[in-house]
Amino acid sequence: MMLRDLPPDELADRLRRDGVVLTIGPFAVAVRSNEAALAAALPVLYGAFPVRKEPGLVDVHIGVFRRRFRGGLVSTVDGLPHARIAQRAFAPLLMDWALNWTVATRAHRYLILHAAVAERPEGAVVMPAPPGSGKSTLCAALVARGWRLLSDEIALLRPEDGLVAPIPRAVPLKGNSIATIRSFAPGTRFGPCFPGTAKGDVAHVLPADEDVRRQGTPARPAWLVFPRWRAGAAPELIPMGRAEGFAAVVDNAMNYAVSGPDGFAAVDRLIAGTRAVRFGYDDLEGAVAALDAMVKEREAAHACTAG
Amino acid sequence: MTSPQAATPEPSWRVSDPAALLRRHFEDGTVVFDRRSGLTHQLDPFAAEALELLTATALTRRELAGRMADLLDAPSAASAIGDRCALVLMRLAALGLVEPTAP
Repeated sequence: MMLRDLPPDELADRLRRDGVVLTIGPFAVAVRSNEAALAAALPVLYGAFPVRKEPGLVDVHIGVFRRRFRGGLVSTVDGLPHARIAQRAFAPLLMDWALNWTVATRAHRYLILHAAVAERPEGAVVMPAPPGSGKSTLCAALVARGWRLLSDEIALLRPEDGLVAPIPRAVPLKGNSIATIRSFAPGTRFGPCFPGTAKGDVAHVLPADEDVRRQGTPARPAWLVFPRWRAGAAPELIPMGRAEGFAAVVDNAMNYAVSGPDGFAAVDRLIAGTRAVRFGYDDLEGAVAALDAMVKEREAAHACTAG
Repeated sequence: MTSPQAATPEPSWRVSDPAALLRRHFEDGTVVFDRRSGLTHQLDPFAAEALELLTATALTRRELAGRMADLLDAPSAASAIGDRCALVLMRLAALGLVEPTAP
């Protein structure tokens, strides 16, 4: 059953009592809350994600609760306080924050990259970049043009086989990026807007149901693209050396320090199986066209080799 | 009358703990993982070659420069190579990859 199939009253009731357990990427996430804003937003932001019938073993328990005396909300991770905010309307952001923190600090069976990942049939493109590089906007633009969403900001690289485990949550856009994507792809489905957060207005591009349905299917990375939005820049793909690419991946690995030699080997495997480029861009139409051409060029090269 | 001070012997340098280092060589350089610190360092081909030489044996800066000049087949550039070796030794030492040995 998908989350959106739960009647609203039943969802609110279950959130207040035992919680609901969602399968989000490779994780079983139990959510409890007495906040109506979260009960209202969850079926939109996580509507296509499966709800477990039986709780079973879960990876994390996340709570978002109204503070009894001081107002606002507090989030909990496995029962321990995690963060507080004053605005109850921001409950879904608080939950996402707790989930991001949990993945970044606990999911060490993966090499975790601060990266978006999108896939064409020709292969997956991993886009590592620090905040502010335009990564989410570019990812939303690719998804709007039919690329499969694997991740917006947390790429889970499996050391054992080099594949990326999807975690296709809604893509949060901030500030001007919201209008940019609305203009670029008017049919894009957005979740509710959260105005006036510390990062400005925030609204999420919703994942396609098909991408969520395929969240158990990992993808093989074929390209490493290091995006950098620059005003007025024409789309330009600049090949990187492998040592340079290796170092750039390490710079964007969130748990590299705790992964030891396994992390080194995982990056080595990633570098061996991909081509790395720096990607400067401004206009999204040009950017998507450049990345479309990039993956098709590889496919054509493979076809020539095979023929 | 004072006796002339003996010149301080030039130290030899060697890789601190070769077993602690994982290396991966590429056309544009080498990446080195140091198990002791958990850090990964990107070295250009010159520094990577110097690290290889200092793994095999301890060398003074002058000896390292001579080996590098031989490898590069550029005896006429010995002075420039010597200067670069001094910088590379400083950098590798700062990263904890090489250390001076007792003279």
